[in-house]
Formats: sequence, structure tokens, C-alpha cells
Amino acid sequence: MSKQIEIRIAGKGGQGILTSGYILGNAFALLEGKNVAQTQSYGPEARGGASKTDLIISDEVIYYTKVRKANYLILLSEEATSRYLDDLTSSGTLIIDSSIHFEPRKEGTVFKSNFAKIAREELKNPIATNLLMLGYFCAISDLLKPDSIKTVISEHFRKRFEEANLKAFDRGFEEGKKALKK
Amino acid sequence: MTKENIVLKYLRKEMDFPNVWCPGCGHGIVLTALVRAIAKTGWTKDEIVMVSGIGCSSRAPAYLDFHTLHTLHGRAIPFATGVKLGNPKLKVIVITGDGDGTAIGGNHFIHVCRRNIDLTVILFNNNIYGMTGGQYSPTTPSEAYSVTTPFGNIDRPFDISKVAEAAGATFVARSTAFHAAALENYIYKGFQHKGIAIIEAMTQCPTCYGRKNELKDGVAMMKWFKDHSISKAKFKKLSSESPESIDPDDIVTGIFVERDDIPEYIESYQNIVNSLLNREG
Amino acid sequence: MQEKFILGNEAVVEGALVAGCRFFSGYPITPSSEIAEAFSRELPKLGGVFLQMEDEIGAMGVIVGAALTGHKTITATSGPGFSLKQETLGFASFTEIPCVVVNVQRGGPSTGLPTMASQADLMQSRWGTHGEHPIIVLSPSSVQECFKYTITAFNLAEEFRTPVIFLMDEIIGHLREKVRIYDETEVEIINREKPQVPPEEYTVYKDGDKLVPPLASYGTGYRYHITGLAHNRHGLPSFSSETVIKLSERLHDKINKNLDKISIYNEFFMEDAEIVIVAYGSTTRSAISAADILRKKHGKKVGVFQLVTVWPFPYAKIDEFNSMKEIVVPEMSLGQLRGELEKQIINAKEKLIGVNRIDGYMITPDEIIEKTLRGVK
Ligand SMILES: Cc1ncc(C[n+]2csc(CCOP(=O)(O)OP(=O)(O)O)c2C)c(N)n1
Ligand code: SF4
Ligand SMILES: [Mg+2]
Repeated sequence: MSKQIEIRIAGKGGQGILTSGYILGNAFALLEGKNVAQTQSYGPEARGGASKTDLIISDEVIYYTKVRKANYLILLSEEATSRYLDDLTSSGTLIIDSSIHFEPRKEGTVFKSNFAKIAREELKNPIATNLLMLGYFCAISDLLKPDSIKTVISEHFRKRFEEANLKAFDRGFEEGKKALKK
Repeated sequence: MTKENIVLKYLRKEMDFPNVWCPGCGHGIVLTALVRAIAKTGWTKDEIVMVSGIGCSSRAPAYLDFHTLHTLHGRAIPFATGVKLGNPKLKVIVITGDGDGTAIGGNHFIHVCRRNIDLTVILFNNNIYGMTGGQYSPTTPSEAYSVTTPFGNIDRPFDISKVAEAAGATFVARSTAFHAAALENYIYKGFQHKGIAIIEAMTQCPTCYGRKNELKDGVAMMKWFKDHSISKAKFKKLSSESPESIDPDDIVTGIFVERDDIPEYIESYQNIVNSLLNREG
Repeated sequence: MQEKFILGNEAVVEGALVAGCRFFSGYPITPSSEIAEAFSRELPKLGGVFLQMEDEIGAMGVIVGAALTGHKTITATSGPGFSLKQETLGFASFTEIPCVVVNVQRGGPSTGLPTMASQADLMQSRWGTHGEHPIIVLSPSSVQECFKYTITAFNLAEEFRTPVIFLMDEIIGHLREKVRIYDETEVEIINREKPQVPPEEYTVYKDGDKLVPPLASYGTGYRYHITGLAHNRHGLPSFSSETVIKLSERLHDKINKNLDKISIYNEFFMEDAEIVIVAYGSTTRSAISAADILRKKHGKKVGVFQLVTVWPFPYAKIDEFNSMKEIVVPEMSLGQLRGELEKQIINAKEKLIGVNRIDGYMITPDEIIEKTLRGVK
């Protein structure tokens, strides 16, 4: 990683957006040895169910802590999409839930996946949507090892959910790999 | 030992005398009762911390040879809470006034009752802001005169003991400067009580209250306490038999609350600490 | 040493625990509440005390009272609560009782912008209480600095028998970064000096010519009086001119004559700088970003001076900046920091450039770059 990478994950309350930001930041910072600055929406910004987390990842010291233009934008809700779609760099990567409608982009790369649906219908574990998404992101971005995120997942949640959580992550990772081959 | 000697034993030698109080002020009598109650406990000077707010009453601790902490107007209870939690072995006594304890410090007062932390609060109630020259307080009777109720008080007064009881205090008692022996006894019982103890000591301020309300000096005010105090038992009896004979200005005295079924705050906290330490070890 | 990925607010708690603090009291308020929450989880496990009070005034009284029993104590709040603590802060300063008061600044005045950042309590942290009192105020610009300088805050509080204000802002409080947590054997920890004389000889406010007389803990055999009234060496009320003047002089001297220990600052690219950006707290980060870009893209020799100790103000150091072409002062306020620099800079109007923001958002490097390039006017 030569320069700074900026990542924004946004969706609505209950999708585990903030947790995913925390897990990802933790994995980058403590297991991948990167510098990380993670922030998240508070107060009015977080009302009405909106939820957003920003991460800056770098090998160097991070000074300014706010995401200006994201290199990776991950969107899990309609509202977040209308609010943040323009915050992506022109060459940036968009990862978005397939159920969301949005103006097609001229540049950059777009990945669509049925995170919510797979979590809900296939895994019967809707609250694991965020972990599915993290697995997907991990595969697409190739910025960090899947094991780094999995280690954090194992430590962060209760033991009895570990298996289901890791399964969700792996399923997302698999989807991401598939998408790359297309 | 004579009465005087007991008090002398606890006076701080570096402090200038005479004290700040006016002739005829009841605060000295309450302080004497307090010191005599302390003498009975057998506590050493080194384990006693006396914390006060601001007011004539709150000047009392400076004269005594304990750890003494003269804080801010209304804030004696929080400071005392900090001292007690910081070192639960210390015996922490709060000195406050009606203004200090129930106006500016009223919020702390009700919450310390609710919290049931092991402190003894002696509230010197002279129905007036003495220190600042006699403005009305939350306990100034309706219609009474003060320098800020020149046309008579239209506020209704607090009954502090009732407030304390309603707020959950586990020991509440009231007496007057005239009934110094009973007062001393209640204070002593308050010391023995595990949990919050509120002792409301009715005391006179001839300078600011008496003068304005046809009680010309300390003696007249003491006499008023004598004539207008009524024991809890007598009050109960009269209430059922001849309520009309009760003067609404009368001061009911006695121990109103004394219960040991509520856990003391620091003990409850310590239980959590112990269970966590056991879990770790 | 252990690495953690935590909030600035949480790093304050880590720092406090390493410093030996086992006593917190507070009242919830955004954006400081994570500090109380972390203490409520950690302190009972260590046998320490956590107490949520009925308001900020109460919490402030509690930590000052507890400090007298020998504890290192702390409270945390934000604007409205910080206002409520002012009277007791003055008491602690005047009676020389050590404690640490965290203010995670949010937009004001009044309830203001509860969830957004500000640096507008700079003057309140210096002059918020009535009267003329000495105070030490430190401000961190990263999560690592939250950890590091919280320990410093306790050290200074104990060494100089004074409250220390830890002036954060929402951006730092709510920022998550990687921090290296050192244990108590790896950092310097200063503990309160205890009296060396027997109780009969001890006076709470005088020990020879020492500027900071030792403070005995309650319950250790040393009995003394503490009052917020003007007081003599025994702590007893005294209003004589001589006593009052001497006391005030010593209180100010103990801080002003120890600036070498108290005044902390960091410099970035200052060796050849012709332009200096003076900043503190989160704004420092934008300043460094801006300086880097100004050097690389615009060939400007720009350095950054970060105040960690914002009070006492480093006037002597600022005086050196009279040789600079420009002095740029970014801050999330209308110019409180700049105003202080004006006292020391000759021809301030021709040299000082303010970059000000009051809408709760962090100042961007671009804003600093633009103003710096534009120069005065
Ligand atoms: C914050 C603050 N407000 C007002 C005052 C002024 N003040 C000092 S003592 C006092 C009233 C004291 O009345 P009380 O507690 O009843 O004590 P007493 O003098 O009657 O014994 C007041 C209003 C103060 N010291 N601090
Ligand atoms: S003013 Fe009143 S309360 Fe104060 S000392 Fe004089 S008599 Fe006592
Ligand atoms: Mg009074």
C-alpha cells in the first residue's frame, strides 16, 4: 500500500455498520500493522436510522482524519446511497447491495451483491449482513488477509456466535472472489 | 469532666477566638451538642472528617481539631461523598444550613438521601440566610419577614425532615437548640446508624430572623422553641384526638425514620468489587 | 507495551489507570460519555471507585473530596458541564487539591452543537472561574496523545498540587486509532509528596520556602483545615493583606517558575520555517497536513508549532515567532488562540492569519493552505 486508502461504509441502523468499521479498523491496525483513523456518525447524523463509518488506512502517519473522497465506498441502504454516492473518487470502487437503485457511474468499478438477501434467506442470519459485506470487501480489495478480519471477529463477538459469524464472512469472501472472476 | 472541658478537648488551638457567631446565635449550642455526641463515640480525632458548605453554620468545623473541609455554598455533601468513598474508614460528618443544604444544595441533599451512603448530616435550620444578612430561605415560614420579604413571605416552607424521609433517608431526626440533650442524643444515634443520617437541628438567628419577627433576642427565640416544640408521640396523639389544638407553626421533634433494611451504598459497591475480584482471581 | 485500537475518550481512561487513578465521578454528557462508560467498566475490577453523580457540580465536589484521601481523581465533561464545574475548579486551584478535569469540547455556547467539535473553551479553561487563579491545561491531538498526556496531566496535578484541565475536542474524543499502551513500569509516574515532618510541625500551606508544600492525606494523622476563603499556612481563614498577597504570589509562582516542566509543545518542520502554523488539539493534524502540502507543492517553508500545554501560555516561545514572515492560526473558534498570540507578536495585524471555523466541523488542510497562500488581507 503506497498511499493512503479511504474507505466509507454507510447504511442504516441495525445493519452493523459501526461494528463493521470497528472490526475492519481493528484488523488493519492491530493485525496488518497499518495506521488507521476510524470515525463514525454521531448524533443528528446518526438519527433516522442513518449510519456511517469512515476509515483511513495508511503506512504513514495519518494527520487529517476525515474522508475527503473515498477509494472504496460500501453502501447498504437507499438513503446512504443518495447521500454518499458522490463521495467516491472517480476511479474508486463501489460495493453496493443489489437491491439498491442508483444512477450508473461513468467511471470506476462497481460491484453489486445480494448481501442482505443471502444473509436473510440463505444463512438465516440477517444480522450478519455486515460480516458478509466485510468478507466481500476483503476479497475485492485484496488490502488485507481474510485471517486478520476473522481473528477480530472471533475476539469481538460472543463465542457461541463465532461459527455463524465466520461462516457469514467466508460466504461473503466467496461471493467476492466469484465477482472478481466475472 | 465538665461540659466545657469536653468541648475544649476538641477545639483547634491555631484558630482565633471568639468565634464568628453573634451573641445569642443558636449555632454554638448545636455545635456543643455535636461535639458532645462525638465524645461519646470514642472516635479519634484522626478518623473524623467534618465537611461544611457556606453559611454561618458552615463556619463551625474550622474551630474543631479534626480533618475539616470548608467547601462551597451547597456542596458539602458531594465533597463529603468523595471523602467517604475515597476512604470508607473515615467518619464523615456534614455541617450545613437550611440555605446551604436545601436551596442551593437541595439537589445533592435529596440524592444523598436516596443513595444511602454512610454520612451524618447535621443541618442547622435557622429559617434564614444568616451569613448574607437575613434573606428568606426555603424554610422561612409563610408570612414571615426577612430582608427580601419586606411584605411577608409568600413562599411555602419545606419541612426538611419530611423531604429527607420522602427522598429515602434511612435515619431522620429533628430537635432544637433548646432541647440540646435530645439533640445530642439524636446526633449520637445518627453516628451509630449505618447509612445516611439526617439530623435537622432547629437553631435561632436572633440577628436576622428574630429581630424581624418579634423575637427580640436569643433568649426569646429559645423560649419560642420551648413553647412551640411538640414530640412526635404527642403530635400523633393530638392529631387523632384534637387536631384543632395543634398550632401549624409547632415544631415536631423526635426520630422520624430509623431503618436498617436498605443496603448502605459503599457496601453495595464493595459487593460488586468483591465479586469481580473473585471472578478474576 | 500493548497495542489497542480505541477511541480518544477510551485512551484517556487507559492513561488515567496507568497513572494510578482509581477514582472517577461524573455526569453523562456528549461527547465525553465514553470516558464515564469505560471507567464504570474498569474501575470496579481494580477495586477503584466509579460514581455517577446527580450533576457536574456534584461530581466535581466528589473528586476534590476524594483527592484529599490520597486518591488521584478525575472527572470528564463537555461545555455545559464544564461551565457548572467552574466554581469548584477555582476552589481546587485555590486550596491546591490535585485532580484532573477532562473537557471534550463541543460546539457552544449553551447546548450548542452537542455532537460536533469546537475549540471555543480555550479561554474558559483559563479564566472560567472567578478571580485570578493559576491553572494548567493540556490538549491532545491524537489518541496516542490522549493516553500519553493524561498521564502527564496526573503527574503535573500531583507534582504541583493543582487541578489540571485536559482540553480535548469531539474529533479526538471520537476518533479511533491504534495506541501503544505502556504499563506503569514503562512511563514516568509522579506521586504526591507526603509530609516529612511529624503532625505537630506540619502546616498544609507552608513547608519552608517550597513553592509546593506537601499535602497529607486524610486519616494519616495530619489534621488541618481547608477553606475556599483566603487562608494562612494552617489553612485557616485569614484576610490580612500580607497573607493574601503571599498566597497569591506563591500560587502563581509554583506554575510560572516551573515552566520548563509544565510547558510542553511539539514542533514539525520548524528548522528552516519562514511561516509557522500555531495550533493545538485536533487542528494540529490539519496544520501538519497543510504544511506538508505547502512545502511539497508550493515550495513554502512552513512549520507547525503544536501547543500541548495551552495554559500557561508559552509567551517566550511565541516571542521567537516575531522573526517569521507569517503566523497562521487555525482554530475552531473565532480567534481565541490568535488573540493570545497578538499579545506577543509585534505588528500582529501584518503577520497573524486566522483560519476559523465555528460550525462544528474540523478545519481542513485546504482551508489552511488557501489562507496561508493568500497571506494577510
Ligand atoms: C454560589 C454562592 N451563592 C451565594 C453565596 C452567598 N451565600 C453565602 S452563605 C449564604 C446563605 C447561607 O444560609 P444558610 O445555609 O441557611 O446558613 P446560615 O448562615 O443561616 O447558617 C449565601 C446565600 C455564596 N457564597 N455562593
Ligand atoms: S447572623 Fe444569625 S446565624 Fe449568623 S451568626 Fe449571627 S445569629 Fe448566628
Ligand atoms: Mg440558615
